[in-house]
Amino acid sequence: MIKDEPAIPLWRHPVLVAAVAGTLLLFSLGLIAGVVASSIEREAMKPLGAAFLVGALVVVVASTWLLKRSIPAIFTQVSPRVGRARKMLVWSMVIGALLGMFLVLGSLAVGTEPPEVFSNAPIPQWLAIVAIAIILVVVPPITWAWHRSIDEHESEAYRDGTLAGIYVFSAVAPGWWLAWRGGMLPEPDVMIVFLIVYVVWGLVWIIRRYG
Amino acid sequence: MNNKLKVLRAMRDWSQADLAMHLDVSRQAVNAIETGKHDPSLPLAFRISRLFEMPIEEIFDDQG
Repeated sequence: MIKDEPAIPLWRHPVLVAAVAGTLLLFSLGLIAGVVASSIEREAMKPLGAAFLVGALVVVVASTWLLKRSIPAIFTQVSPRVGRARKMLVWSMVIGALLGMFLVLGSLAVGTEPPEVFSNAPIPQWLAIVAIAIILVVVPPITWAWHRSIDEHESEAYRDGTLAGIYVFSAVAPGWWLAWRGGMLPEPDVMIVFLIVYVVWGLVWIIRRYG
Repeated sequence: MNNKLKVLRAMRDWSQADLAMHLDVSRQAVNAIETGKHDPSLPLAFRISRLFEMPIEEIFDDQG
């Protein structure tokens, strides 16, 4: 009798659950910080703000619960190499979350508006320098260590995602730029292009890896 | 590429996770090889061959 455990559906895989829960937690904390800061400034809270606050608190509780459940499962019954790779992935998520919180709290501390997602609003120079330093100094060694730890199947899935991402970039960036010059679209926004590429890259990687 | 990985691990009563542990890869990698979605590299094919003590060509079949 062939022992074959049922395949875990994509949406229930602990790595993906943790990634989605971590992202939701981060955005919810940002939303809470924004609503609270705005309410303090106006010395009142609008009903819509209160609704957002309650919703965000519910998401914080739910995503924390999901993280608590999924993170131990990520490291259950895996080989040392896979364990290392997953540890790197968790660290990447933690650093991303800390970077996001740092940007929000730093903006609040100096009295500017908390940055919206991919906002182009100015931020203090020191805040930009620290955030850039994290991206340039902290992220590369973790990325390098992760690439050294993943197995060949994940490496192939990641390469497919990267290839899809670069093709999307090759289409979206010049396409938007030409449309702008032709007066059909506003000026290209590098962070929107980055987001589009990142989503395609990540989706292809996840589908090839876990699909 | 067809392969006998599923049968060979069944003979040892191993789950995909057990085999993944022996090969130091993820369960997803084992599943992808068994279902023909991923062809293993030569080093991994040799690891599989050594683990089951069989020649590579008896485990993998590129003619099927």
